[in-house]
Amino acid sequence: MQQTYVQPEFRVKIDYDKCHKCGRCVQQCGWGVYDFNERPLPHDEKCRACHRCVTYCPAHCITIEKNTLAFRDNDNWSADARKAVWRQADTGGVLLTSMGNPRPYERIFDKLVLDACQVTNPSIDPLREPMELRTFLGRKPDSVAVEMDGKGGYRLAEGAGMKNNVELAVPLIFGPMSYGSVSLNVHRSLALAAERLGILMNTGEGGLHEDLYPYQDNVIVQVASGRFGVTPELLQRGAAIEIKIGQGAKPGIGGHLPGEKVDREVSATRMIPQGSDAISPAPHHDIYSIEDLRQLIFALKEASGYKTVGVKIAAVHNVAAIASGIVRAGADYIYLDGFRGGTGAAPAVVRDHIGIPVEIAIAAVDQRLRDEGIRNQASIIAAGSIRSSADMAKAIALGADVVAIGTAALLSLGCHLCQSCHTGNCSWGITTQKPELTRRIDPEWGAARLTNLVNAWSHELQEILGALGVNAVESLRGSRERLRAIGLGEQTCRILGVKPAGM
Amino acid sequence: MLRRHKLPLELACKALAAPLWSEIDRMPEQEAALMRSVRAVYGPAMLNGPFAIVLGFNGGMVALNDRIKLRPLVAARSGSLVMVASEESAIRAVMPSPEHVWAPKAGEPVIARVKGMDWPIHGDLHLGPAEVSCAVTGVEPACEEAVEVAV
Amino acid sequence: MTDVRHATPVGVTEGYRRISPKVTRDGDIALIDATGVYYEQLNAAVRGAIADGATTVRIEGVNGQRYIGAGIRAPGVRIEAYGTAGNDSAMFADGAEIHVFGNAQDGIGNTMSSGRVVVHGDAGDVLGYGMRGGRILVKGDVGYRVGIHMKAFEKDVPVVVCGGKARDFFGEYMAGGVLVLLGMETQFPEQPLVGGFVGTGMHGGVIYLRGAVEAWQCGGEVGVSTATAEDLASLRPHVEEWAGAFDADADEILAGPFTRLAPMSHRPYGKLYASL
Repeated sequence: MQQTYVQPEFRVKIDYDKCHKCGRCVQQCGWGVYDFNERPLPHDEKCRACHRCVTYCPAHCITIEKNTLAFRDNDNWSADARKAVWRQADTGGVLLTSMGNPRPYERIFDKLVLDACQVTNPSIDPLREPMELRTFLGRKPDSVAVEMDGKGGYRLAEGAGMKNNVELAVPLIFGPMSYGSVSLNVHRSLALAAERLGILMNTGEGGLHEDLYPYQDNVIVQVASGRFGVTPELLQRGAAIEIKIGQGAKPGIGGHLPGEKVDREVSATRMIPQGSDAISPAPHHDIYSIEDLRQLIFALKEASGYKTVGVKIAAVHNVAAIASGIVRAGADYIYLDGFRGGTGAAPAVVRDHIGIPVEIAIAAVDQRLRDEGIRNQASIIAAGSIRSSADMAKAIALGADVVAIGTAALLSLGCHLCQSCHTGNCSWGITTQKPELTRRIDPEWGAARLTNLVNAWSHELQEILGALGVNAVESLRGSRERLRAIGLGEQTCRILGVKPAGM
Repeated sequence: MLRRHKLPLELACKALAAPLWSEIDRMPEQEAALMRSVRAVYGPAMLNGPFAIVLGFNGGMVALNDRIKLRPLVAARSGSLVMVASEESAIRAVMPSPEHVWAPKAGEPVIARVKGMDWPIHGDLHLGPAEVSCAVTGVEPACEEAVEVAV
Repeated sequence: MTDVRHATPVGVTEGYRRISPKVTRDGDIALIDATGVYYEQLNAAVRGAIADGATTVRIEGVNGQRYIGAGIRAPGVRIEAYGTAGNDSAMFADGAEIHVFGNAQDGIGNTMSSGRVVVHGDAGDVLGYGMRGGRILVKGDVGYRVGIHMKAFEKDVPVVVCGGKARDFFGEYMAGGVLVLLGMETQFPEQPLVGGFVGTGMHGGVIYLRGAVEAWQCGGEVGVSTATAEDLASLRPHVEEWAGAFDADADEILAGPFTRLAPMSHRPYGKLYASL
């Protein structure tokens, strides 16, 4: 058989002088990199640089290096471009990958800076003074109708006030990652953490495993085009319901969970035969228009006792008009997933070339909804790629109510962004269903790490708010005046509604 | 808020200087439900940061400062005369010996209404002027009597 | 541009006139009529009287003048202000005995080093901010952020005793000293003894409250306990001093139940940070 032209991306180097010959690396590697014959013998071509072996080697004798083969310089034909052609010539296949778009598009978050108070307004000390992050997810009424309560005060008029909103302790939730793409222990970790943090996790499109029923008040249940695991029970159990139209990593295409990841539990939760591929159609075949979306939204409300129903879309070119239609269709929140959002599996061509940055989408949607006077009718959740509390603060300042994190949550559980989730061999036990791997995540441990991460970001957001001289996160929301751009073009600044630094 | 949303003045003040969530959580349920809605719906209207404002209107005035007391506010009254200022000395320069001088609580409006003058914005929500003529916080005994504000 | 500070005192500044106040001497007592006089001229007259050997400076007609007794290093001297003492009175005070017969505005005893301030009325916000020594006694109610960041070092242990009630952030960031709230001389009998966020960020010193507080009122950094006999013994001299100043019965005050608030840690945020 013809040898592939694609050379190994990494070199696994073992310092055999230090090596204990214990075989831990062999046992830890989910990719089958190591043979063992008196000492571990690596096969470089299988390595994904996930660092599981490096982390667990008791002798610290393993290093992973880039295989820095020289290619004749060509700015046009990068090494990656050449390798992709060879790989496709080898196989005839669509190149599959995972996690978010890694390409060097402009990162707008990194070109925005936040304001702080000096003299004219006091900054506020977030450690000692109240610094409120509580946020309500859902539709707000146009106004609050009140009546006298007969005791000199006021009360809500009959039927008035905010209805069916989900209370979040911080403006951050875990993004949808389906059981199937990730392991049940990951779902358990997310659910436990969501409960402890007073936030939400999201089932993704794979249904809700019954082990998560105790956490149902902290779970968004998702209804996607494949309708996996969607039953009246699921709708009853969620704190909110989300219609997944699209995903930032793969706008316009459906999900595909390979049969290898569909074990007994996954099959039971998704309600499909064990071992069969779980394929989601590209569109919902009952939604070909905004009117159809409205029909599904209200079907879900009817079936769930009028819970909060949100709609998740990928950020695409005409996102503002689409969002306006979604709000008018009755959605209580819009989830905007930017083109850097992660995935458990997507064609590389789609992941890397379709969609727009979430920063642009937030600003465009927030502005459009304000202009149309319907901003109060839906919350905006922003995701696709919130990497830090700074991104969270900037997203909120651009107009988001809440941010969602997926990749950051998985990183806290050990993910090293090796972009190989679709293989089902995740050595960290995250995106796999192999029992010997999934047991590497203990839900208690996972929940503790997720809780640490969110608490740390919450503290940092409070520090930012304090520096801005405000003590409630709603005062940051849509407050683009507190942002400035460094090195963004005039047109981008205009779309973002942000002035350049110095103005 | 007052004109288009028909919000009573007291609640509009609560939207501008919203109670902390922790305070709302401790309120009786009926009041908490109202304040949760006011805060969530009018969150964008919250004046966050330091302020002390005085607003005069046909039929009265309202004074309000921010919810964590980042700016000073002092109120005083003598009979039907109600005054507010950022310093007590400013009040005493005009009214040397007021019956009551007090520092209003942060975020709690001092509202004085002129007896007999309906505030048109209030509409149906407005009780008789005698009943809500003075919602001055802090000096409850004085508050029970209807006041005539002599300006 | 004219340097207004040294301009001929004509016209009106902030509602006051820039004229030297009338000063009369009666033995060791200097009597100053502050009516309508700008603080700069008033405080110059106070310093002048002390330089001239007055041991008591009695200021009448005070209404809002700032910095009364501010920065004065004069142990043994007594300053009496009749009226409403302005913001930052007794700021940086170091040794003098300063009495306010009336209410005191905001920022009294700011960053005070030593001496004693007695307010025979109510006091405003941020009383005793950053105070490092000396005592402040207030007869009545006090405002927000009282005793904020009081601190102690060796023999310098500041003490603040307030006879009335207090608003939020009482003893915020407190790093040392003694802060006492009696809740007795108040114009707000219906309201709670103290607002919320009591001792938030507290990492030193002690707070005594005459009465109880609920858990929600206290910052997360403080431990709350009922004052023991030993605590009350250490509290007694401060209460006696307050009672002496305002003609009250210390035993009666001390008979009430006291709550003691003290920091649970001197490093409350040790676990909040991680190295990058």
